[in-house]
Amino acid sequence: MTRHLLRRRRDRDLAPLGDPALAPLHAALTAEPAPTEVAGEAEALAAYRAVSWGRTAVPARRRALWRPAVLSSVLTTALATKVGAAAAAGTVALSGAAAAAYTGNLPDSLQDVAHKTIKAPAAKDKAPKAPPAQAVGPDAAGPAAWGLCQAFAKEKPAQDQAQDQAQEQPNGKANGKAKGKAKERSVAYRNLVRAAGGEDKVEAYCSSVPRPSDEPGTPSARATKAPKATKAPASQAPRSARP
Amino acid sequence: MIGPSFPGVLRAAQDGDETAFAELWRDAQPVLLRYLHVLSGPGFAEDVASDTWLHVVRGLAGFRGDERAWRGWLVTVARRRAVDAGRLRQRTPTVPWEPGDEPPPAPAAETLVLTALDTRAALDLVARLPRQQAEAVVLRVVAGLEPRQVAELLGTSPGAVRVAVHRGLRRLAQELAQEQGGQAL
Repeated sequence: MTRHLLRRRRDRDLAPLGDPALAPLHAALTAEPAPTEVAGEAEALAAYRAVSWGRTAVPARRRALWRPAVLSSVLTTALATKVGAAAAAGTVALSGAAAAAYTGNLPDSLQDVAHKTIKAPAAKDKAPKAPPAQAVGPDAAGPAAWGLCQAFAKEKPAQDQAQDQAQEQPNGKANGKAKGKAKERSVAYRNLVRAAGGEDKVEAYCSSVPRPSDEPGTPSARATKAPKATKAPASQAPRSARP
Repeated sequence: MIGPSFPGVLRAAQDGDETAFAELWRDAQPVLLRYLHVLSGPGFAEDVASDTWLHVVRGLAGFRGDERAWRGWLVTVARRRAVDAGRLRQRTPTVPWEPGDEPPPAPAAETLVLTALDTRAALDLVARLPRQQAEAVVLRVVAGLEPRQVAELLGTSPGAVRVAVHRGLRRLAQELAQEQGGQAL
């Protein structure tokens, strides 16, 4: 009863609604919803669904939903989601790639990039896929001497690199950065040095090597046992070594 | 108003139940449209209501309160959206219904009286009140808010709200009564 009195007192401002003149107005203001007033339910539900599922805002506005700015916003949100997923996948892939780089299991060109960017071991430092003992290299004291000397004299860097690749990278893939110490590690060069009797005697040795008559002008330096290395003559290898 | 089942409906909607949200929307959307009809005009009511629901949906999970508080929150968001969009009704007649001062869109009162009063026409009639009276009448009569809630929304006191509602309704009744009398003659 007290509550009823309090409510009546609180609602005294609404007392004029008891006036018969206001009855039609009151009825109209509080009438059941017209169909036009609840016509946007589907769009409102779409917005609710979008927020509930993806915590992404999609306007419920019927007409505004397809306005360029609104549509752009929705698409941007969706795109950002996909980009985020792609970035996550890329992170996983890069993690794997980094592990491969640090263990030296990347292809040489990629290993070189990894070496420069994340200080992974250089391709030339990788453990050779074929044991060095299997790569005998060209016989610098035999028919390959002329070719080796030609390559040594004319294209020392290229020769170094080609020989290095021929012996250490049977897959023939290039490593443009493997020039420095590669010469010392090249089996062919070591063979040439050995045949000459010392590194400082190579030029003198080469000057005494006769030009083979059966293969004029053709480099004869070939790997004797490494099968893939024989596919790349010393003079052509640098060309293929360039990216 | 949804009534006693409101807490369960709200909770379900907050948990992702589309049916529950639809029930909330169907109950409140007409109220919002009618309020915004008076506040912003019929041309903007639908757009502002859509903006309102967008914000409501975003904040739905964090809402706490009963059905009256829910209504209060909705109209508060709606009013802010209307203000932000610059869509408050510009026409604020301080001396309504002076001869020759009637705004063109409003229907003739005699038409309203003689025919079944259309909701839109009734809202147009209310919109001819001074803005604070018009808002207070709609929020009290249509939205069912308490004077305290209306006062918070309008930045005034509950007493001022009661006065505004009372005066607004009396003015409407007086006008309609005069029109009824005129028609009877």
